[in-house]
Amino acid sequence: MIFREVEDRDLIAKARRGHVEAYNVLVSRWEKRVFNYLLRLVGQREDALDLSQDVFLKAYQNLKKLDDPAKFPGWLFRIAHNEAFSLLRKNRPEGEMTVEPKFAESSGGLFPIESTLAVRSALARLSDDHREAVLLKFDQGFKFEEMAEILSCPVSTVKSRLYTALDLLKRTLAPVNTGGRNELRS
Amino acid sequence: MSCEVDLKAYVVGEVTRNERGVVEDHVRGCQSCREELDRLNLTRSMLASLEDEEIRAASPLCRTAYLSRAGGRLCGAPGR
Repeated sequence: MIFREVEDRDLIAKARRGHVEAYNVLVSRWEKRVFNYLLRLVGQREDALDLSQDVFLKAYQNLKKLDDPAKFPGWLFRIAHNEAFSLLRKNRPEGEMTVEPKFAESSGGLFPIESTLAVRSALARLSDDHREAVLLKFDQGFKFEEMAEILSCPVSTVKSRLYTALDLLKRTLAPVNTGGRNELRS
Repeated sequence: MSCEVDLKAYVVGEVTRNERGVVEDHVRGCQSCREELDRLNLTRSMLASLEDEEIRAASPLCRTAYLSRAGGRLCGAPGR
């Protein structure tokens, strides 16, 4: 017997008919990605958890408005974007500095802990818009056109935000990249 | 950077096969672009090194509770 993984579109179709269990499977597939996107955007675990719940609840309530199930990822992240920025606007008046996010300790990996901390710190120093562009591209792997739909802005704006963010990150992370040899470089 | 190749588009994977070839040919002969591409690739690698956090580890709420909390409000079919 051949077991075939149920596709998201099948789960979406079932959930649209009120099949809560199908929706819970869909949530279990996407919650980690959505949670981490929200966590890196808003910086606080509890906020990211609350927002994740709101995102999946809103997604469920509006599932029938999703025209093309193939567009579910971008559609879901558009809801997440709206929820996150609604909170950011409420918590942080315009112009206020980004708050350093609090993350769990890294379990290690290819890069040393100093490097991981440097990346987190560099990301936190970006504006919300720039950080989000980086997250959607590098963490979530969306294409420019999908990002433009999620953010409701032209592709040129997406590109400009991402390129600016890359330049800023490159400058901030350069001393770490070179093992500290460029520490005196401003 | 006076060269006209879009190194960032290459690094973020937003180039066609043809454009990729153009960038790769160019950096073979242009040292400053090669160095810039190295820096961009290193930056991308560092970003990729960030590990995702588990929801379970992030909160006392375990996933079952999380889902049942959300699920408790998921009675009936989604709205129109």
